[in-house]
Amino acid sequence: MSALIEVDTVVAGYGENEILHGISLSLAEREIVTIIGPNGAGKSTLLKVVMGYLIPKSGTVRFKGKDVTRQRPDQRVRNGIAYVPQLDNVFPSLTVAENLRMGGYTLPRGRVAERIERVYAEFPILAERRGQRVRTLSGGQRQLLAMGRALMTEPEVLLLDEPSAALSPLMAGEVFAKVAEINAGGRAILIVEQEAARSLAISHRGYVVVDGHNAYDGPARTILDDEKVRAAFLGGPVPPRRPAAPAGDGAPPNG
Amino acid sequence: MLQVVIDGLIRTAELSLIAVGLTMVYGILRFGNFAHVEFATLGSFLVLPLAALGIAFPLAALLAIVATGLVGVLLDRAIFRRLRSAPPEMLMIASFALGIMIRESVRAIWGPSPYLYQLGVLRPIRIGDFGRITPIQIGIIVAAAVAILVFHALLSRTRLGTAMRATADNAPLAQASGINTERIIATVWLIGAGFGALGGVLVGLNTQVKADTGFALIVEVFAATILGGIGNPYGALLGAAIIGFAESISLAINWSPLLTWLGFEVRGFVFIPTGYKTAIPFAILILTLLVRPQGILGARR
Ligand SMILES: Nc1ncnc2c1ncn2[C@@H]1O[C@H](COP(=O)(O)OP(=O)(O)O)[C@@H](O)[C@H]1O
Ligand SMILES: [Mg+2]
Repeated sequence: MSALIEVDTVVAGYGENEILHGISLSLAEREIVTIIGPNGAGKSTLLKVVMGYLIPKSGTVRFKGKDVTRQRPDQRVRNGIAYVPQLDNVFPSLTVAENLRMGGYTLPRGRVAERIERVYAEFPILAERRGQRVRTLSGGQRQLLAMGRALMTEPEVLLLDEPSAALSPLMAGEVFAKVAEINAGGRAILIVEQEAARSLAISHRGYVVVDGHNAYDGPARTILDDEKVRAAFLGGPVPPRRPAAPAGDGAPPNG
Repeated sequence: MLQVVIDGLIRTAELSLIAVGLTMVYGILRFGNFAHVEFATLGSFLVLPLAALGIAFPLAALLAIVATGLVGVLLDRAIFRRLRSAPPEMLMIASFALGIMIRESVRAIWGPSPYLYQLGVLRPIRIGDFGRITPIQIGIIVAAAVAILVFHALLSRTRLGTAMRATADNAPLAQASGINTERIIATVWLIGAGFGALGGVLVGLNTQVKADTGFALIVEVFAATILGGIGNPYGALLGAAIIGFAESISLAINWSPLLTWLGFEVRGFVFIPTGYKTAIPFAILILTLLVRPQGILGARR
């Protein structure tokens, strides 16, 4: 199993303010990986580097072995990466259908309608709301639309920044079920989450990021089970073991 | 009566074309471009050398509009693109300086006296007993209406138009959708400056071609934009219509009954002198900022 995404000792930040101090991670084909860590650790910043919103001061980002460190976000989309930001992840003044059409901006024109129908099949609530402006949707529906928009291009990698934030526990459960389903379809997914236990429960591996450094990484199950890691970063009861084996060869791949 | 409607329509035509570009650039780059009204001036002047070459007026106007649009794109590349992450106040000050530069360059090149477009003599058309309208006035209204309809179709029905709205809504997310937002920004400058130029040509047709054509409209254009809800092109159209008609109506009516009712001692008719007409958009602007700062169609942020 080869690495789809490799982040190699990345140093990055906003202006003078350095946030990531040499972080590394990898994401293999068909894998789900969760990045956890305290608030302000730099998790969102890390995703912005992977997507190309921030150019690192040093270090590299490789996608399928190719150095993409300096590619613009829209170029990365064309190459097969998709990104759902934590906030502002839909176009509020556009309709549901227009949001999806924009998600398919890079597709050949003939394929857009067919892809939209596929997304509607996957998210039936969006089909019901197709003509409505996004302002009228609930938080959970917006999150589903945000994922649907990102899936329009059939990306090889999906980057999700706190997909369950600000959702009710019920809705969050639905979102994680969708994420697992999307992964079962063969897409690699990199998630940043506060809701760490639930996210790790559907993941193969996890990274703990603290203060812009790698603090810990390993199989998701180990992070969930490891007393020390749990005490430091999680808390709460251990969720039930993942019911289905992960996509791919069944065993959590190691990094 | 008819004259008030015609004046209102013409004013609406001129203001809406200029305001649309101002509001679109604001929608994407989030700063009020004080230089925007100078695209009207520049466009109206660029027609002159082209017409002097013997090019028919409509074609000369079209070429001047396209040229002005390209100037808008170049100025963005040269100046505003370097300031993308600068605070809006800095962009506004830069645009103010740029406005002075354009205005004074026009004055330096073409001199201080006004010009007229040479269109030959065209007879006004009588409309029953109501009044008269000139073919030029009809042309102004039709040209603006066509431009606005084409713009509406672009914005609402095409992939490019949707991408323009998406970029105005959320530029980083537009990038995450594979949209090259810098290309969209260039398109917005092209269209915005081009529409501004058309507005300026219409002002030139209606009156004269002057170096302060744009600057004289700055309050009207900003008032229309803010009244309609800055960033929203349909709001700019609505705002332009309200300002345009408010001006033509308030200049035409006799204010003495109102003043008498308010307890003032007035004799005879009282009209607002044309020189003070900028007071009207100014008053509307202040009222908007006090009562509904996000504008009629503007969303609360
Ligand atoms: N756009 C920005 N400009 C400047 N600083 C930022 C920006 N976004 C985040 N930061 C800072 O970077 C640090 C890490 O933020 P972030 O990556 O969002 O953390 P996390 O997602 O782990 O909570 C924080 O201190 C935050 O204040
Ligand atoms: Mg975050």
